[in-house]
Amino acid sequence: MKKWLLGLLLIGLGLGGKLSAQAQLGYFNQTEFGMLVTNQTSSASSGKAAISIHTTNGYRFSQRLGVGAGTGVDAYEGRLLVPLTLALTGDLGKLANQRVVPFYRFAIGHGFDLTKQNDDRGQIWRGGTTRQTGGLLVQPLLGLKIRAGEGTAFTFQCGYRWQTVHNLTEFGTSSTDQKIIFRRLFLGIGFAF
Amino acid sequence: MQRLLTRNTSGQQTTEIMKKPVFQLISLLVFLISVSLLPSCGDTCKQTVRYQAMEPIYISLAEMQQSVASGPPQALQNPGKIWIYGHYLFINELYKGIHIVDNRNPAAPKPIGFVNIPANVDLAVRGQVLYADNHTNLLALDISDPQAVKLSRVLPSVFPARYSSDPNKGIVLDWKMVEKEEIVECNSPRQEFTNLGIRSLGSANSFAQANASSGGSTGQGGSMARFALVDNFLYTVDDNSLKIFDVSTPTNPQSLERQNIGFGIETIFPYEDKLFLGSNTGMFIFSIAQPRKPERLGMYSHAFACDPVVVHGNLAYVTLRSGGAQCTRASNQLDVVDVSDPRKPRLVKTYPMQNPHGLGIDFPSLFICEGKGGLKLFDASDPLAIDRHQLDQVKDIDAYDVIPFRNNLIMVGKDGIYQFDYTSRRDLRQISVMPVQRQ
Repeated sequence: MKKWLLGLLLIGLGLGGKLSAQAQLGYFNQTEFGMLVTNQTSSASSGKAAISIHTTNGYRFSQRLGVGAGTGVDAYEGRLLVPLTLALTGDLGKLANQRVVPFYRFAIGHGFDLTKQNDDRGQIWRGGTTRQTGGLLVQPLLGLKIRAGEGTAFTFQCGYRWQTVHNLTEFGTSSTDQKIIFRRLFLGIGFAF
Repeated sequence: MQRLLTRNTSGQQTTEIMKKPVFQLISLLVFLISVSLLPSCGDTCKQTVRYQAMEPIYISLAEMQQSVASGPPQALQNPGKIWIYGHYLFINELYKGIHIVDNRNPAAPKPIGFVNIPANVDLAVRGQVLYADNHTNLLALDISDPQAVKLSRVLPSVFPARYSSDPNKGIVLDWKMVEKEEIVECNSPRQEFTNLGIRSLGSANSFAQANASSGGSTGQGGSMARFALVDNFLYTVDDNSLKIFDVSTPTNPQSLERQNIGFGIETIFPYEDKLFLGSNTGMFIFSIAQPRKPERLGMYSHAFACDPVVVHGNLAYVTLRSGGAQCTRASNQLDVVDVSDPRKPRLVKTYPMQNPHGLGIDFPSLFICEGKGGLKLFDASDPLAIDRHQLDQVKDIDAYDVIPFRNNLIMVGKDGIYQFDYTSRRDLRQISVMPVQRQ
């Protein structure tokens, strides 16, 4: 794992190339508010959009590459998840002089389920237990930064969120493990500095 | 906005202002990404269901008939009914056959052989002939040499089928518990049905005992038996009928008539010139003054329950118990019934019990198996005060049924076949146990 991170760091420095005097290296923050939408209903959900608030803090090694850790809250239908992610982010446009700069971010992590657990009384598995747990989260996205001042920008992003969760129900000698995968389109606005 | 420096054709520097289409860029970005990603945006759900299921064990008809054979002793695993004849014990191994045990020394019973009889549940012995059921067949086996039992006669299709059958696979001989795992869509309706349906079948043992009501029988008939021998006739009961066989030639039984008598018939107990049949809803009394044609005399009704019965003199002792697939609505009690007028049996008294199963009587000693409550010994001299005359109780055993026979009490328990000495008539002294070796 450490070698993998080190390799990523070296690649990032290599991609950075010649640094501009106006390149913003060092600490960065990206925060956004968005919706997780789908156009399909299924056995997993009614298709209701989810709300996502997310913030990523990290270190920018070059204009092309920064590494950060993120967290936030994702409110799906009947479920509250707190993601913890590791992200790679960077600008895709020309260095610093542009007002509008496209950027990318790739995040991977785990969404922790903080939904209040029920003991299933009144449901079909009367006397059984159900536990809800989170799972793997993957989110690639593309966005645009619109420079708002020195070192700050508004962001607009669009991406894909892949989130796994589990419902484990146990009743006597039988058990059911439901694996739900939320595959949503992410649309968000935010700011970065 | 950005300023773009250019030169005109005459070389002069000019400045043009370019407007950046910021919002057009954003819209384009959102549009392009949405169009490409939306088709693959759809939540999915699959579930892995793990449960225990009962799977049937099949045996073909031909294999069943060919596999009746005598062999060396086998471990006791799932004992059913017992028949005592002379110094031998014949112990049913549910659905598999019959253990033969030399009980000359009750303190050290010695297994001497095993007769393989697929689908066997009931048995009776007279002289040197063992009668046993084999699915729908009645077998007569020569036991003159208990270590080399021979099949004398098969009466095919005389009993109703106890289990279902598959024309391609054969007869359902037994059931086994298996672990199952399935991966299905989350809204698959079969999951609720599967889990609930399978759960209701219960374990292999409880399924067997729901049909067999494991217990024991003496030469005079025990409380849980479905076979009864009286003179030259064998009487058997199934769920709704009484079947008569002529065994005047022991090795060549002849099938006689069948009488439909109701539903939920469980046990048969012969006493003098009568048969007492226990059922879910009551006790039937039949006269066998004409042994070929039993005549129904009367019935003692009770709440829906499992009820073995034994009789002595003018009193019948009936235990009612709750629990199990067929005894769901009963209370736990002992009923003492006056059968002096068999056409009008009359309740004398009811005694609350813990969870009574089989019972036996060697008057005045009354033995009652209380399941996990153990075994109790009562003095039944006063039918109105039986509860005040409990003489002994053996705890820490799960008692199913008993056979009192000449001061030696044989008890079928969950973990073995126990023998007690009740010579004193005031207490029970354990003298041996044949342990069950469950797989």
